Amino acid sequence: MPTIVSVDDSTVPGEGSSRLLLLVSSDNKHIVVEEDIMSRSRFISKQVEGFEATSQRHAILLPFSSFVLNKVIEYCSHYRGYYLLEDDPDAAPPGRSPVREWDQEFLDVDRNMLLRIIKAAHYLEIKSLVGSCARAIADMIRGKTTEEMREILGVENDFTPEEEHSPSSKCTG
Amino acid sequence: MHSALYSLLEYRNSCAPINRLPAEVLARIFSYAAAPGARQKTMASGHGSPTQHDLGWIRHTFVCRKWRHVALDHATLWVNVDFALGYRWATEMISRAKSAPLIVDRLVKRSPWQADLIVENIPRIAVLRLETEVGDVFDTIIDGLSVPVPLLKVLCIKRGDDFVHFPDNFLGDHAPNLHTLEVRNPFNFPWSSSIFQNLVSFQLIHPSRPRLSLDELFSALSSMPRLERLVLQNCLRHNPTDYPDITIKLPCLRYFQGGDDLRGWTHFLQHLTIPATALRNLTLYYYGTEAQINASFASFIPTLVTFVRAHGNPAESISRLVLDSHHGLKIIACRAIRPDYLSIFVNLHPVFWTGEEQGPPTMVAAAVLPALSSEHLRELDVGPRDTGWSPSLWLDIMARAPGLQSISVEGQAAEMLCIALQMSADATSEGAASLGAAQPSVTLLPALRELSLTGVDFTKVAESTAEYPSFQDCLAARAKERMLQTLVLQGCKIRSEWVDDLRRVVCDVQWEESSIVPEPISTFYTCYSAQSRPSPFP
Repeated sequence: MPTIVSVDDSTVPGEGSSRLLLLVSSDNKHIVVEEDIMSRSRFISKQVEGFEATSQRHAILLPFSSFVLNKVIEYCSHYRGYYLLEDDPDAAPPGRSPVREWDQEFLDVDRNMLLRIIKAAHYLEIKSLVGSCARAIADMIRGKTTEEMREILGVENDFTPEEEHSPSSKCTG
Repeated sequence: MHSALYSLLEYRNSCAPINRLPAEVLARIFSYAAAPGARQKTMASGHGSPTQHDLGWIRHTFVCRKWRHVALDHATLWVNVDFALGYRWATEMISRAKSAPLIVDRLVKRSPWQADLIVENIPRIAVLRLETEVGDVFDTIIDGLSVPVPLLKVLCIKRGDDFVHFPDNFLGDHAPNLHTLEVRNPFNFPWSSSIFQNLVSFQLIHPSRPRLSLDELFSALSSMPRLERLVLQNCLRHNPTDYPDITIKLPCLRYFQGGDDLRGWTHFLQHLTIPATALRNLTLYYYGTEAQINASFASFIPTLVTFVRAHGNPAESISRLVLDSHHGLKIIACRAIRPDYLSIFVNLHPVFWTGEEQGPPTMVAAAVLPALSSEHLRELDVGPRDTGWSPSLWLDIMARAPGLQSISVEGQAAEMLCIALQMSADATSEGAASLGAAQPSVTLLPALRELSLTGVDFTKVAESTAEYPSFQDCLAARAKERMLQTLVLQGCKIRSEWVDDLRRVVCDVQWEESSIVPEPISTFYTCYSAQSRPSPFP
């Protein structure tokens, strides 16, 4: 659960169709964003519902940096008002499809940034962004050898010699 | 010592950013990373290794302990049962899928064991697609579909043109989650069953006779209140007396595709109610002789226009329209995701060109374009076989669709467009010899951003005359205003130096030379002018 702090109404105007939300990043940057933009995040939507239930408005503290948060807001802003199948909780899971062209450019970042974005998207429950990031990471390792995958994603071979050649033993429990 | 070393490595890996992702996200990456298209290589033989199939991610189990644990333990990676790998792998996958709903979308030939495995697990299946000719396996599975299927969401049953005999008590009359149903040539199908009530997508294709009765069809459709996608092919009859005196209400319909005799559709539309707010996608086909096609379209188009107008503002209601007669006429009009975005595809075949002033191509354009509120058009795509085009028809379309941003056009229609663009521009510098020296004004299609021309012989159409500026100068003028940004030239007969000149003024010129030199066209300069023909529009 996120930490919630009370917010002065003058800081976050909350009337009208374009209500504003105050998001606070882990580096203590305060970012004001229209609620409508962030409605793609089920996490944020649930928080807002909670606000309405208590008639109090709060800032939402998020466990990632303002740099990452701004990227997520950029994504949500771009798809503001668009219907994306992946974000429809009632829709059947989408099949394999290529990363959207805009997403490709948007996710043209270094590996660590990409991993931070997908983690933030998962936290915020933005399925479409998680999917696009997952596809981008998958593209990085598709067709690569085991050694290449380790090198690309910065992991070591931690198998014992016996484990390495028997995939179904021990690790599966 | 070794054990401590491996534990240390495992701990180090646990701190790697990729391994700090939740297991379900990692599993999703694995599923996307499976090599696409690899499975076809071994489908014919029915055998292959996991890495050649949808289990391509199995190689990820050799990267590190965490990946192995996630890959082997995550049920969703195993739910798509691949029978091509053989019995042992299929049972292993079903076992590792634990209680997750299964997906069965591909069967293989000469493997009778798969029918037993599927029938045994039918209550666990969420997606079942039987679309191939697999003999007895198919019949065994169909016979097994007589039990309740609480998890089933998608059911697709198609076997060529043969009838599919459905069992009594189909799905135990209990499929509460079934949202997609696709059947082809069903026989003994329970049209009055309650399994339709939650359907979101329904496709019925019935190429073989005898077909179901309209009473059965209307009864089934009336029990699908949540339907958003409807595809009906070869299901309708064209005798108006066959139609039940009821109206089908589909308040959620967003996509509508149909085929067969347009006369049947003429009657069907009169029994159909769709809210004006629903996004509609109509795709109607008719294949027949020239006389049949002409008769069908002549009766259908007015009905369609009436239908569209009766359902609210056409600009807001209809989103995509396709009329296709295969070898004959094809019209596609669509509005894309953005609500203000409408595009139209017109493909008119010579069979409709009677040589009269108001021949079928212009009649169709006259009927459909106004019905679709052409001022909202943003895209226009004209197919290669159309010959009913003239500069005056283009000029009319330009005037009626001022918001067009993208035009893709081929063949004779493309050549007529080039001439129309020249005719639409007034040269302010007469006798200019070089590109850009003349300064035609851009009056029509001021928003044109992309122009794609295929099969144009520019040696015939590109020259300037005393009356009109050259086509090059027209494009250059549009480019200088930063309007025209992309020019695509495919299979065009054109001088390379002319392309080089254009590249200096248009941001993106894509020139693809074709080995097929287009047939030279007659020069229409002398045949046409903007005033020589009456407007095709009412």
